[in-house]
Amino acid sequence: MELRQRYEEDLYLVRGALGWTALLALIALLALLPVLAPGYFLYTASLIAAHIVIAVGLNLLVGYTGQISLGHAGFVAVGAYAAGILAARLHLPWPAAMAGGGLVAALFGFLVGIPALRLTGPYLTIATLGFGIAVNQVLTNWEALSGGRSGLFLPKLAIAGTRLRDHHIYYLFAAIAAAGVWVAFNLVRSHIGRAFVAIRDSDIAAEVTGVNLTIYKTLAFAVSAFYAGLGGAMLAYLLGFLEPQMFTLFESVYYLSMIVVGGLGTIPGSVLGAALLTILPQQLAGLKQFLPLVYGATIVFVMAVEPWGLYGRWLRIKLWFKTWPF
Amino acid sequence: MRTATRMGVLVAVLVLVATVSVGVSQERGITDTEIVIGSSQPLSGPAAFWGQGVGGGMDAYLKWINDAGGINGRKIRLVLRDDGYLPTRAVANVRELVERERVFAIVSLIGSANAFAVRDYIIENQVLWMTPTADANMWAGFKNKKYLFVGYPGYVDEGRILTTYAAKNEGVKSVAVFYQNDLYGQKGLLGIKRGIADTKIKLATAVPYEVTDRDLSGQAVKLRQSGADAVMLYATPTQGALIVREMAKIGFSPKLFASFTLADPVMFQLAGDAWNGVILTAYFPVPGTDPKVDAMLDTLLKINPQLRQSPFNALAGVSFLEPFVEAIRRAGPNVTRDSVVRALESMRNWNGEVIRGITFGPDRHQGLNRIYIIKSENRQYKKLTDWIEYPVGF
Repeated sequence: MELRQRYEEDLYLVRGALGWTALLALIALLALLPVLAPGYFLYTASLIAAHIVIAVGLNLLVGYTGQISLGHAGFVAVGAYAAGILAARLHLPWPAAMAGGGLVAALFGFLVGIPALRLTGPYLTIATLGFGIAVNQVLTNWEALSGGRSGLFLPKLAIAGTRLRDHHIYYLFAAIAAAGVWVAFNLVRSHIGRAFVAIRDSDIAAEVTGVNLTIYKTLAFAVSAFYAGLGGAMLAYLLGFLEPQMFTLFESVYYLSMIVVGGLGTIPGSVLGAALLTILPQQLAGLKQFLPLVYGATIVFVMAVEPWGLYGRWLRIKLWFKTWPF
Repeated sequence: MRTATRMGVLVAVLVLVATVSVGVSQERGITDTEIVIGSSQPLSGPAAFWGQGVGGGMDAYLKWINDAGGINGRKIRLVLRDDGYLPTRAVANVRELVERERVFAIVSLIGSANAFAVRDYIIENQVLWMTPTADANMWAGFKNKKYLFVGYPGYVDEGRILTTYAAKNEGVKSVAVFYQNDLYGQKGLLGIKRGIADTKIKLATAVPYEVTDRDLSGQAVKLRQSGADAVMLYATPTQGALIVREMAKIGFSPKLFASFTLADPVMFQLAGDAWNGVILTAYFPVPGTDPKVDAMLDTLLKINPQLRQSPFNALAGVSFLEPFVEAIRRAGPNVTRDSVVRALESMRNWNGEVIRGITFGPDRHQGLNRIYIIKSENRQYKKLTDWIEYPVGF
């Protein structure tokens, strides 16, 4: 075990030759995926990238700041529809539409964050739940805005008139997800991240030590909603079609279970959880009606043997090797 | 070793790419002994009732075909995948069916949202697509329909015909509509409004519900307050049964009309006596009115007794497959996409065991353009009219 003498050393994201090798190997693997994996898997990989962005954002809010959200599908829907409307109705190019999706969702995140200042625990859960349902209802019934249940078609992703193929979309989405993960890593080791953690552990103590709750709680909601909106915009472009029933309470629970299974309050946990809970139903789709049973049992199993999630298990394995043979 | 495996994978991919680009001689999903087809259905989740019935019906029907020796020496294998009624999963399923299972055709696929989400992919990859189970009117004016064949009615046409019948033959003066707040219900409502405009009767009210609703007492009161002398239902069996029971409870007994999705005999169990004297449409003969359909249902139930819970959906699954199986038969030993398309386009007023009067042509891929009216009496359905035709849209 190495000795860390300065605070900066504790902040390094990648440590030592082994860490860099692992990171480069991961990047190489992701870069080579279109060659190694069959074409249909690239769609699933792109879907995982979108879910990673959403899960990382949700973990910043739930895992780091301790503010629970059961209405996250609402933010995802807002981002998806904002991007869809910007692209399909106002004919903006996709980078602007995606950014717009994130920003509009962030605005809604800020607005939901305001009542969150006075609500905690189950009360906040119900408030965010209401938000998610309200978004779904508005999108369903305000047909002039969203196209209602007839849906909204998005233009195809293209650069300079050339349509992006599956592997282009995969590279683009993987890059966005990687950027999202990198920003999140940097956010949580900055003073903002420390303020989030302080609020989670005790908001009164945090305020006493100088953390402005108004700013940081609403900021946590806005940042988390930005991630959700960006992920929603990615989903919208990936499917090319939007319909309000794609963003129900069920999806909110699905996103929440991603970060719980992956590991609350950890960025790699969000990535692992998003990947597992996207791949699992896809690989099990041949099981037909037994799918929910196996799927549910798997989640229960993961939680039972490793309450800290997949990332907790990984840390233990790492620790075991570090201290081996003792 | 690892390099060897990787090289192996690379070679395999290259070979795969080569076969795809050569393609013509080696048709996807066809071997000398087998034809592989795929479908994605809601086998779990809110629409599992449809998916399990339709998927189970298709599966049992193909087992019956295969046990009798298949078609021209080839067995038909159905790869069924669950999408939980979610478009993201339907897209992934269809891509895996086409690229991994290498299916020759996609059959059905329930829900307009799912059909819209996979539409471009299926069309661009020139996959044969038989009867997406969504409002047929959604394809009107659609250009790239070379490999798309639909043997399912449009809800707009159905609503119009049902309303016209109500006004002309049942003397209905004002109509209240109870509809599901999605494309299915909204298209039905649109058809009813067109029928109302044609016949100059009155629309008293239109009351929506969500597919998750289980308490419909409010809707029942609204329907009664409208003072309509007829109520038209565009609902699933669950909510259709709930609303007629609720209306009976508050003493409101208008003339009832309903979409063909409520022609399932399961309605007699769900709604009991309230489901008496209801006038519905049908696009294939409902069980109990036609010996061939009854025989097919018996065959299906022998193979899979669980289908007893949704006989109508199981038969609907059969009706989606029948024209396809017939086309394979007509295509003869040399089955290719183009020979099957030619065989489908040669069908004129073709009758299967379940589906009747299918006509396709080079310019016509809407195979079904007629429905008829039935009435429920003493837990049986009775035929009221002959086939009523509507214009072909695509």
